[in-house]
Amino acid sequence: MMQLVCWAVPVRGGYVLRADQAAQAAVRAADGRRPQFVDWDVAIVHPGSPGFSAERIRRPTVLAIESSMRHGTPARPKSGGRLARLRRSWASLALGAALVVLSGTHWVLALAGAWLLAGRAWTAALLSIRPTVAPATAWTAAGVQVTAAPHAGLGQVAHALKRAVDDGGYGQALAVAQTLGLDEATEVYAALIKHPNPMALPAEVGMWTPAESVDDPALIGVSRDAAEPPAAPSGGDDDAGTTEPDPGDDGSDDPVDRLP
Amino acid sequence: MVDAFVVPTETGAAFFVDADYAELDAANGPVQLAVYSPYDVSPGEVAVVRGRLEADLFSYAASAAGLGRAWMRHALLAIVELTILGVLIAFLIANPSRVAFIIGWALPFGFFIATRSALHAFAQREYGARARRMLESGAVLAEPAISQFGGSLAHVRDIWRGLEEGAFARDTVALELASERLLRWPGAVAFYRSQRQADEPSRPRPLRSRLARLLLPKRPVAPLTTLVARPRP
Repeated sequence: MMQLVCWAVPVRGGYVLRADQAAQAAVRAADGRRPQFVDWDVAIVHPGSPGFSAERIRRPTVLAIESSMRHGTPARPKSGGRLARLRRSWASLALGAALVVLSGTHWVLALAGAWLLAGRAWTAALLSIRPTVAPATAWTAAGVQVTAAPHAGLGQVAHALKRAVDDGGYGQALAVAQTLGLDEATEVYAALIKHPNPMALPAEVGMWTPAESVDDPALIGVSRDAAEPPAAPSGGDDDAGTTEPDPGDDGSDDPVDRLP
Repeated sequence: MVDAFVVPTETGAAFFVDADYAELDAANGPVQLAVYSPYDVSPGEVAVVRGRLEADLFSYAASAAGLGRAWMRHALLAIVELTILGVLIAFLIANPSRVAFIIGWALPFGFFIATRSALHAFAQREYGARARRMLESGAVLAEPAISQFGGSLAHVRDIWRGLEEGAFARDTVALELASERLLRWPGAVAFYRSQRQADEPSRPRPLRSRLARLLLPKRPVAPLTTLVARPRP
């Protein structure tokens, strides 16, 4: 079972789904694997929203990953073209040419020159010792498992987005995402600052999904019941992210003390 | 077991994975991620680290799978080339001239390529075999181990404690020096060095390094990647 990660970046009114930067490399690396080891588990990292249902966005997630395969960096690494080979072996080619030119009637010099110019490459091809490229395994969406995984950093980004009022809040969200080093979220917010309509985002940035199609009302109810304290001391209105503990925010203690 | 550490950076903290992929062998069982952090790590962060580790690990395996595979055929090619070289040297000794002298000095540049390839292939055959096993049957366990082993835990604790107590500054160079001299933690030194070098313009390698690179068998190295950054505590 190999894992891919898809980011559900929170935006106004929904999420932008975007494959992790490592997804392409993982799929390419799977080309050389045995089929029984190439089952895919897609972890959708989200801001810890109550009611977030991975199953409901299974299809958009797969589409987002396929879109990143199409729009990302090309393809498979090439083993090096003719020019690269020429650069590697220019010294021996030059020596071979010199030997052929100087050989005159001496067959030994001509033989050595011919070996350097063409014989070695031909023998290598004959012995088939050039690197071979593994056949590409088709990425199949069938049988892909999806799971939801709350991400503390995305939770903080969502919190910043919720608190912000101006400019759609994407500026503040971008700043938090940059601080946290969340490259995928950073790129989404940078694109949204230019074009604030998430539905019109370019495919290489991500795919917008409305919150209604992600949130499962049944899960929201369950999570509210679970999160509701038996006797709340005061009516705090900032309980949006309390279902998932936020490691970065409860910073009153020395982090070293929390090490076991 | 592959260790992932949460360490301080200039702007906050970051995960880095300290593993030598060339030494991991699928014959010893599946790989398990061990996370060492002063914080609770959320499931999403673990998923990202695991996903990127898998991508890195299997990309490395795919690139190293061809190493040493055909070392006997490489050796055969080297034998043919050395035979031709021997005949050529004998010819040049038998027919001494100024041209023969000049050609004689140039011969190593042209006639040791196959020998070098054969030596590299022979030296790397174990790495290649491990990479092929990893590619064919390797797996990373879904559940990570959290802070289980004393030595690695002590490294994380010491670096965060040193920062809290002001023993060193929150600066990449200071953290690199502290990891090297105070903590004696090679993995963190490599991580901070890679962070520092990412911001610096690349310089040409010295001649000695280039020669060593040309002659000595390469050891496959996987890139050390910053995986996830976290806020300043």
